[in-house]
Amino acid sequence: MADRFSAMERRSVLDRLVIGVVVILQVLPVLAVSLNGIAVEWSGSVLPEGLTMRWIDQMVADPRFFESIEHSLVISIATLALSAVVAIPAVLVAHCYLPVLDRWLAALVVLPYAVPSIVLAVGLLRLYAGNYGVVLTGTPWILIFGYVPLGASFYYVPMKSNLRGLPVTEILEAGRVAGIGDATILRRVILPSVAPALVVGFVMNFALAISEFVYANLLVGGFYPTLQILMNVLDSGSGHLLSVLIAAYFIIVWAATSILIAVTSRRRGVA
Amino acid sequence: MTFIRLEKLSKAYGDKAIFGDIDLVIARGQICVLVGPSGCGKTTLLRTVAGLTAPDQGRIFIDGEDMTEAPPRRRDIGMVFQQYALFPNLTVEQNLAFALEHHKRPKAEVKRRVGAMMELVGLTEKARARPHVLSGGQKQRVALARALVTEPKLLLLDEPMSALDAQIRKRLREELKRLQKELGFTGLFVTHDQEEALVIGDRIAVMQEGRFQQVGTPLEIYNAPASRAVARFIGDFNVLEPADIQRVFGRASDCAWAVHPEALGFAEPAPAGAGNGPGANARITAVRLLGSILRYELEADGLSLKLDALNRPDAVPLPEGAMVAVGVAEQNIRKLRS
Repeated sequence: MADRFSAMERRSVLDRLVIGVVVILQVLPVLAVSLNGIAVEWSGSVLPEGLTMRWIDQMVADPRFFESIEHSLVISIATLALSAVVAIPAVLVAHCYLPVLDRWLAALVVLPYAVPSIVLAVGLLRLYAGNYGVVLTGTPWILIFGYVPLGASFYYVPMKSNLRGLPVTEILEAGRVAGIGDATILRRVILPSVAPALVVGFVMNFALAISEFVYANLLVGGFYPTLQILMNVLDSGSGHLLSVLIAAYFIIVWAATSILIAVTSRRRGVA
Repeated sequence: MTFIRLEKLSKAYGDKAIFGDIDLVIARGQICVLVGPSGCGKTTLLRTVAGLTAPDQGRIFIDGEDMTEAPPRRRDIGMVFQQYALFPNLTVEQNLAFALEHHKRPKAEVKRRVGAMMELVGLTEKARARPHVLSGGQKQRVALARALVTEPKLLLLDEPMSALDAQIRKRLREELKRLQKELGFTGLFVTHDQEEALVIGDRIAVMQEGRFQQVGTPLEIYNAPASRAVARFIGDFNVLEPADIQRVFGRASDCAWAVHPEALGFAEPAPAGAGNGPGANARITAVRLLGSILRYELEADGLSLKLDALNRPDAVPLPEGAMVAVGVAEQNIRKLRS
């Protein structure tokens, strides 16, 4: 018994050690980048030679800084909203009523990842350049419409996994028998029951839109510079300024993700 | 007084007939059990009565009103589903109150009815629990309470106990009968378990391959099966074909016999039917303990027979391989014409 207990204790210590190493590996680069943003000079030594707010002041004084944050937030929130409006009802309807469509949907959500980014970007440029009556080039909409199909899989996969665990047809029928319409059951029972999947979808969509560079560079580039575009510009200049920008990016992603999780969790609690 | 009347109902999916020519009458306050093997069409028939599946032909009358085309919400029914279909994000209390609140019942009434129903099924302590923390039996009771809280005219139950273990099933059967006596609802209950059918049903409809084989009270069904199919499904009868009867019992018969295992008895030392009924010699091939019953499996001239004897505390089971004389009283032979 004592042997078994000490074996469990040893395992627990080992578990904590492994988790600790993983956390350090993930946090260390963030801390290092942030520290570089307030370092006077940091080369050829383990720690910076001094601390300063100079780089932060310089970055904040640059009009491109707030502009890129604003652009990134606009793109991310619009992508989040639009992909939610398009993907969530589509996944629900396909799962509950149209299993044939569901098979197509499963193929469609992986399709954007099977095509090289450059091919998709050129395709989007041709599609929205007026060849088919829609002109979105030079506007952030082309980027948003580019991200929405990419973000659909972030809803589809976790939602399907949650929905498979629910007897959706029987729940809908239980509602019908009790005189409750499908729309009410979907809104008040099914959607809250897949809330963890929705949280994953929201966070992943936001993270995709705010951190993506290839499409942003190819589709809007200098017309509508985002955080990632500005990072690319600063990459050839001061490493300290770039570090400030990256640290700001981390703070924004962390804050937005926390707000998303808090809001969706509160809504779940109410339901 | 007739409460449910099904007239010539039929349903097919493509070329495959699910059920056909279904006529059934259920009196007010009775529970009718649809019993039959899996895939015989009983659940589809139940769903048709619920309005969840449309029949191809026939009429459904509920409380004298033709409800064949009516949507489920107009039929005033409650339904308990096989997997319960509880609303997973709502507490027990909210599950019960959901339909009442949706129909804008006054808050005081909702509280009173939900409270009374939770007390009736013994779930008051679990009012704030969500379904995932409940046991199978508790979930089943929530499903039953949710179906009854709207005070429906008709309660439909689709194999509600199939996922529960034997002990809980036994207890819930008794609970269901108690609730029916207290509330007086009319019920249509689907099961593939013949024992459950006999315990719960005021009437039983034995269904096979989409047809009713026999409809009657549990006693009628158990004691006087109308066909080989019913005899084989209900009561675990020994079904003896005329050729077997001639060979084993030395009697000529123009029809098959159905003999309950408990109606067959050892001729020595306590004959159940020997002397005034047909008898035969048999060898005991297996002895099984079924609680209060000892089940002997016998072989008589190539014919397999089952014989049930009361498992008295002082009884000494006969050994496997022993040769015995068995017999059945004339009045315990059920003659099967189909």
